[in-house]
Amino acid sequence: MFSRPAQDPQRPPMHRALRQMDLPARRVLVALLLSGGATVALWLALPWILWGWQALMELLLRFCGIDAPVSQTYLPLAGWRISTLSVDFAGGLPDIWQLAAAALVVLALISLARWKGLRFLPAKYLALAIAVILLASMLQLTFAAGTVQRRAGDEATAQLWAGQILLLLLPGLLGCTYFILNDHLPRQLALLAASLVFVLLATPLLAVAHLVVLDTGSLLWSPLLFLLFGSLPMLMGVVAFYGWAMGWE
Amino acid sequence: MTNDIVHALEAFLALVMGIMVIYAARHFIFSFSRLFGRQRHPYVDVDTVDWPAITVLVAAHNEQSVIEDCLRALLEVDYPADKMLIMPVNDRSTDDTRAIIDRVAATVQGRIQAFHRQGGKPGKAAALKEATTLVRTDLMLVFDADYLPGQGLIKQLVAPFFDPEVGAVMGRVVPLNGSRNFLTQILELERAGGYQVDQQARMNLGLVPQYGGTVGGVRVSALESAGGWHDDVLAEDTDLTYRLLLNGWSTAYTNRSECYEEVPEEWAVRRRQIIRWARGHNQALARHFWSTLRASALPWLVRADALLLLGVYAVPVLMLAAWAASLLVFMFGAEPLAGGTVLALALMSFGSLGNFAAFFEIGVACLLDGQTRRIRLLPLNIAGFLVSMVAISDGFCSQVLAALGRPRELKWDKTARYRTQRET
Repeated sequence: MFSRPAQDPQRPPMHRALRQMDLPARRVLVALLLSGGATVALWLALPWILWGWQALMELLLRFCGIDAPVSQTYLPLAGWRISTLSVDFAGGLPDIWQLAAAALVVLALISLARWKGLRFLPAKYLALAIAVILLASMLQLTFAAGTVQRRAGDEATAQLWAGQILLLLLPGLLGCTYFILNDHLPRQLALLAASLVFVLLATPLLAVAHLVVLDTGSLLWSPLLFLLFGSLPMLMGVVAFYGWAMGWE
Repeated sequence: MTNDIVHALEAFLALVMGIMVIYAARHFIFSFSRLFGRQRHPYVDVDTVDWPAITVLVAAHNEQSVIEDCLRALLEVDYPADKMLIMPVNDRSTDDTRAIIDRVAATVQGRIQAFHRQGGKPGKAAALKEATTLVRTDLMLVFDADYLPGQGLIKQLVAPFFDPEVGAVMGRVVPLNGSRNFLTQILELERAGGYQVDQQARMNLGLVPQYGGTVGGVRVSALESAGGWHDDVLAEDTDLTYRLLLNGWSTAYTNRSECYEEVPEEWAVRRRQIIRWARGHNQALARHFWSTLRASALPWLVRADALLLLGVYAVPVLMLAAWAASLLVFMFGAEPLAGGTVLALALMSFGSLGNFAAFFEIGVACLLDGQTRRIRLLPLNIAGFLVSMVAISDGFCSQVLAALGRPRELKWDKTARYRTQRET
C-alpha cells in the first residue's frame, strides 16, 4: 500500500529512519571468501602460531627469570584433538606480608568505592569488583588453602586458550559484522590484519604478564587476572579496532 | 567446596551461556533485518487525510524548567489546531509548574486544558489514569514535559491509528544533550541501537515494538479493552504493551517520528533511572510471563520475542550471578582449567560473539544515522554496561526484598532536568 520514497536526485536525501543497505551477492561472496579463507589459513598456520607463541613466551620468561616451561599439548574437544599450549608453573601461596598488603589494597579500594567525591560510577564499581574478587581470594588462601587445586600455570594456559579461540573466531566475526557492510577490500584487509596481529601479540604477552604477576605476588592474584585482566581487555581491543574501522564508513 | 557444588555452578554457567547466546542471536537477527531486510514503514506517506481529534497529555511533576518549552513546541505543530487539545497533567507539583502552565494556557484560548492534580495516588500511571477520564477523544498522545516535539511529529504519531488494529504507537527518542559529556555520549549510542535497530527490526519482523510511555500514543478504546491504566506498576508503558498484545492489539513503531529528550548527565541520576526502569520492567515480567507464554492466539515467533523482551532487565542479574559463579568455579574447581574445556570454550565464545552482537547493533545504528565518528566510543560502552548491570541487580534485589516484606508505596522518581527554561 505504501512504498518507499524513490531515489530521485531532485529530492532531499532519504531520512535516516528510512535508510537501509543493499546486499549484493558479490559482497556476500567476498565476505565469505575472506573470512572463510582467513579461518582456514589460521587453522593451517596454527602449529606455527603456537610455535611462535611458545618461542616468544620462553624468551620473555627467561628474561624475567621465571622457570615456567611452555609445552605443546592437545585440547580434547568433541572427539577432536586441537593443538594448543600449556604452561607448567606452580606458583606459590602468599605469605603474611603479601596478605597484609592485599588487605590494605582491599580496604583502599572499598574506601574509594564508598567515597562520595568519586562520582564516576564505573570506577567505583570496578574498584568494588576488584576488592570483592581479591577478598574472596584472600579468604580462600587464608582459611582454605587446601581447597586450592589450580596452579599458576593454569591461569596462563586459560589465557592462551582464550586467545586461540578468539583468533580462530575473529575472521568469522568480522565477516558477519564488517565485511558485509562495504565493498572496500583494502579496508577489510586492514581491519582483519590489525585485529589478527593484535590478538597474536596480545595473547602470549598477556599470558607472560600474568605469570610475572603470579610469580611476584603469588596465587592470590590469579582470580583477578582470570576474570578482569585476561580475555576481557583482549576483546575490548578487538572491539576498539572494529569501532575504528566502522568510523571509516 | 565439594565437586557437586562446583558441577552445579558449572551447570548454572552453562544455562546462563545458553540464554546469552539466544539474546546474542536476537541482536544479530535484528541488526541484519534493519540493515538488509524488508523495512516496514506502512504509515510514512500518510499526509492528506481527515485528521481525527486527539488529546495530547503532557505528564509533569515539578517541571518548571522545561514545561513551557514543551507546551510552546506543541502549540507550533502542524496538526489542525481545532482537532488537537493539549492537556498538561500537573501531578502535585510544588514548584512553579502550575503557574507556568496556567500562564501559557491563558495565551492560547481553548487549546490547552490543564489538569492540576492535588492529591491521589502518586506516580505517573496514577496521574495518567485520572487524566484519561477527562479525555473526550479516542486517540491520545503522551509526552513527558522535557520533550520537544517537532512540527510534523504529531501527524506522524497519529497516522498509524488509521489502522484499526493499532492500539499504541511509539516514536523514536533522540537525546538532545548527547554531546554534553562521556555519559551522554554512550547513552546516545545505546538509544540509537535501541530505536534505530531494535525497535525498527521488531516492526519489520512483525514482532513486538514496545510502547515507551512518551513520544507515543494510545487508542483510548484499546486502553479500556485492556483494562485501562494500572496505577500499581512502575513501568506503565511496558505493562500496557503486553496488555494490549494479549488483548489482540498491536503496537506500531514509527522510526521517523523523532523527538528530543534529555538523557542523564550524571552517573548517579543514570543509576536511579536504570533502577526505576528495571524494577518496572521486571514487574511486568512477573505479571505477564505466564500469560504471554500461554497466549496461543499469538504466533510462536511473536510470543518468543515477547518473552525475550520481558527478560531484558533480568539478564544483567543473571550475568552478574554468572560472574560470581565463574569466580567460585575458578577458585574451587577441581579440574585443571576453570571448569574444563567446554566451559572455557563457552565462556570465550560467548564473550566474543555475545559482546560483538551488542556492539554490532550499536555500530549499525550509528552507520544508518550517518554518525560514524561516535562509533569509536564503542569499547567504552562497557563502562555504561557495568553501571547498568550493578544498578539493575541492585534494583532486582531490593524488589525481591520488598516483595518478601511490606509492599512500598510507589513514588514518582523522575529524572533530573538540566535544561533551564531560557536555554532553548
